[in-house]
Amino acid sequence: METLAQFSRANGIGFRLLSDEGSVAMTRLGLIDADIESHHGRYGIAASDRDRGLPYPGTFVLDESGLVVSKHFEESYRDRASGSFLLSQVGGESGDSAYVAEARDQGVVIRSSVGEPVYRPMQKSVVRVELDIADGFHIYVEPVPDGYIPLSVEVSDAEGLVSFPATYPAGQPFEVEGLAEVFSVIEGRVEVTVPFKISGTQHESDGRKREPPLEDDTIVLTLTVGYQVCSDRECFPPARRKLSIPLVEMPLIR
Amino acid sequence: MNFDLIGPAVGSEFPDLVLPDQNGELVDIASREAGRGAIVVFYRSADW
Repeated sequence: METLAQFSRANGIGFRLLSDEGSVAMTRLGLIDADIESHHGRYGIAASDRDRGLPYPGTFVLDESGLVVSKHFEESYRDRASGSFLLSQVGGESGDSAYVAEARDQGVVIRSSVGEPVYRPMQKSVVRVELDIADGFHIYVEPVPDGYIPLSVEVSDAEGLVSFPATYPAGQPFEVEGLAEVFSVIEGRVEVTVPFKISGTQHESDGRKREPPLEDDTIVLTLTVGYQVCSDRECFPPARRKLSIPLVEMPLIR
Repeated sequence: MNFDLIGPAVGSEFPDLVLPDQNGELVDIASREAGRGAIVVFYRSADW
């Protein structure tokens, strides 16, 4: 318990840390990785005695009555969900997310944000892109007829970056008088989320700090937002806007 | 590796488990009494 108290203070943790002496609860839950030798081996790491009786790292989301709503498990201890990612999964508020990039033109304001302007190696996090579309205008989303531009959000290919498929808002059916096609459009304020993780540049694959450290421990997440804004009668030309979010690398907590 | 098979399934009841926190206070993980749900994260260790 003293270990947990120290760890909690050292890392500024605001939630409760529980101790499972002898892995009793984790064994009952069936979370122990019984094959840690081969799982570690895949990453070129030898398992030692202290690794036995350890759980698969993962997360359960429980509702008010204690039912399991969702769970997230990864094989490697390094692949973790960040707090903001978990909250995005349960539809919670992202908290004090700092808006760090903004672009406005053609009847739309685009803001992108992350929960915290930092990343930990391999931690799964999420970037949010909010579009604020002016009254009387809309943006197409998939599926679109040939020749029309649907909303798209791409995360650039920074070193060590892995991005996952974006979640787009559902469109409303929209018909234009005189045209046979039915379009799918969004209006007002909508949000796109893109999960991502970064393997990190300051740490070796086994989590040790790189020696000597690189001078620059910042990675820039570049988002490219593609879209076409239209009113009932006319459209602006298709647009592509880039927004950059600098993220500072923090140490991996194992 | 099928992670759906690890631990209680989605839709099932999380077992009643009570563990001490960092201050020695006992915590009912599923916090049914509090009735506000929970996010339960399993970490390997705070002691390396």
